[in-house]
Amino acid sequence: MADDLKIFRTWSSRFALRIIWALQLKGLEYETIFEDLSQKSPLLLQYNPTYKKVPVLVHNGKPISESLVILEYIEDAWKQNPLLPKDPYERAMARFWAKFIDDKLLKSVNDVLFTKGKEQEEGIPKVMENLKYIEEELEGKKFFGGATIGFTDIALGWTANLLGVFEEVTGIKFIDAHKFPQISEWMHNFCDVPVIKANWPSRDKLLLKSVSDVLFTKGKEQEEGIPKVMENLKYIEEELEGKKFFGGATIGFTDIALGWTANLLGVIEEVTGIKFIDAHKFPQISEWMHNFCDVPVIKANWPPRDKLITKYQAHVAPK
Amino acid sequence: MQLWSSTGEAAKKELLDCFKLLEGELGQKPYFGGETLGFVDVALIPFYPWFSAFEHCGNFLMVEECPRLVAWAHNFLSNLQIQMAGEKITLLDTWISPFGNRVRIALAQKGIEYEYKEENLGDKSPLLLQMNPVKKQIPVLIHNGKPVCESLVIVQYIDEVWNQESPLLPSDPHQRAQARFWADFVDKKVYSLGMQLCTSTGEAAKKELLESFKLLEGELGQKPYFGGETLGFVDVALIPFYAWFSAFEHCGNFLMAEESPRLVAWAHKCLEKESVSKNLPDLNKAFDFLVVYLKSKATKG
Repeated sequence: MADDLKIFRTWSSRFALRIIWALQLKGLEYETIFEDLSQKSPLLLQYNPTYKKVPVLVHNGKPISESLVILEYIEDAWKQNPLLPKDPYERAMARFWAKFIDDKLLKSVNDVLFTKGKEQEEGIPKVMENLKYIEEELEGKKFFGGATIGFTDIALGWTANLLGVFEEVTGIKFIDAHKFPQISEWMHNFCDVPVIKANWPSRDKLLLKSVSDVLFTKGKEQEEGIPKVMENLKYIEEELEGKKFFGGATIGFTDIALGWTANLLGVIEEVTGIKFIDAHKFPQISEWMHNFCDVPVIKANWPPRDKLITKYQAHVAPK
Repeated sequence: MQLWSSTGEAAKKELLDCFKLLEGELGQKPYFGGETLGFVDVALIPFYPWFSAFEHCGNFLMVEECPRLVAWAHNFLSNLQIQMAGEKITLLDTWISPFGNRVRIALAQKGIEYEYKEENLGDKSPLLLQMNPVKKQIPVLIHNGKPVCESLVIVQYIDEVWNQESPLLPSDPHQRAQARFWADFVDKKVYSLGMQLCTSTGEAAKKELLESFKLLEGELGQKPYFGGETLGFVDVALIPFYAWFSAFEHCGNFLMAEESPRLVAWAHKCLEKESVSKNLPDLNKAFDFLVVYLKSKATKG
């Protein structure tokens, strides 16, 4: 019987990413359903009534939630490419470290990320202490799982991509290659694994590509590109929920990456006649653009609008 | 012995006849005692190491003459009782910790003997700090010198190592996932909400705690245990908090019997088992301790 596998996720959820990796490492085919957490689907609420969160894995109609529980399920249900070692003691170790990563490391990183000033400063030693335990545990190992990635590597995986982003956003250096040589090496090796490389979310790249697709096409092709832009804008919209900037109270890495939209999208709208940022559809993005453009450094550096319009009109294929 | 110390076929024939009689008595049962080891098993198994000597003296093979008996002996030897003879198991714990209680119940369910060491958390032993340097917490199970930490990780470990006795997790992957989910739910909700209820004012924690109990009752349904017909992973995860119910009631001004009668009935059923009743703290002692302990946490803020 062919397995019917569905995963409910958001494109940015680091917990959902664990499941994606596990499914792909086991060579399993699955359908992906992206959720809008501001408007959760009835299906999600039906499949995860307890927490109403992603990720949820649905296998032949039966749901499982909580990322580490899902990982254990995948391991139990599909025996190829085992993610956990055979030896009970080694399994206990893998589970212990996965729990440590969620209960302690993740919490301490969030405590630093979502605070500022004195509170943020005081949270940093806790992160460093937790990283030190991970560093020691990695001694002499390529991956926690040995020669190939396993349960604990998957649990820790989000750090290999997101810690760097958080560092840019907060200005705090967590992984200094001198202080944490094992973790640095581990991150490098982890990111090299094909399944991992293929699945990192890349927000600004996605958006840039989809806007370009619309800008440089016409007719039916252009029309077909618009939903993709809207979909990508929706992800950004959802990510901005509750935030002034991606960086918090002041602009950071992601704001800078996205910054061109605050100016250019309007230009592109004028040139193509297609409205992307409707303030009713995208209230968060609209507000963000407004706030972003108010930042003195930003205000001072926009290329002049009329010159931009001329430039893009020349680029755009004639209607 | 006659076979050994004399020549002649008479002793050999009679010995093999005896083994065949024993095979007849064993029948298709895994042990002479039935599903578990019994008197006859214990009486006979010490002769297993003598089989090869008998074979040598009598010039025969047990596996040809009495295959059923050989199979029985091999089955016996994989039994935990024999394994236990070489095992050293220590549990670092405190009498009041619900997390430690879980491990004790699991060990009792499996019939595992171990050394219990009561820790003073205000003055942690060097052994505890050495065995759990990362979290410095109890419970810690030390199995032949190797430490396992985190109560649910330990319970799963016990279930996997001593997998022939009283399985705590079911074999079906989906049911296992359900068991893990609800045990994790107990971890996320019952302890932290209970603590919040008792150390702060306001109705929010009480409301959420009672809702959590209702969700657990929903999961229990009409089953005698969360594990179905037998005590399972979620039962072991949750039952230690029974000793905290009266403290919750006191702090939240409610009665569990009114709010979650199904859960109370379930708890009483669990307590009928010795593995549970012997491994929960005395209820009055627990209440007296918790009321003081939780008050002290509240004033600290």
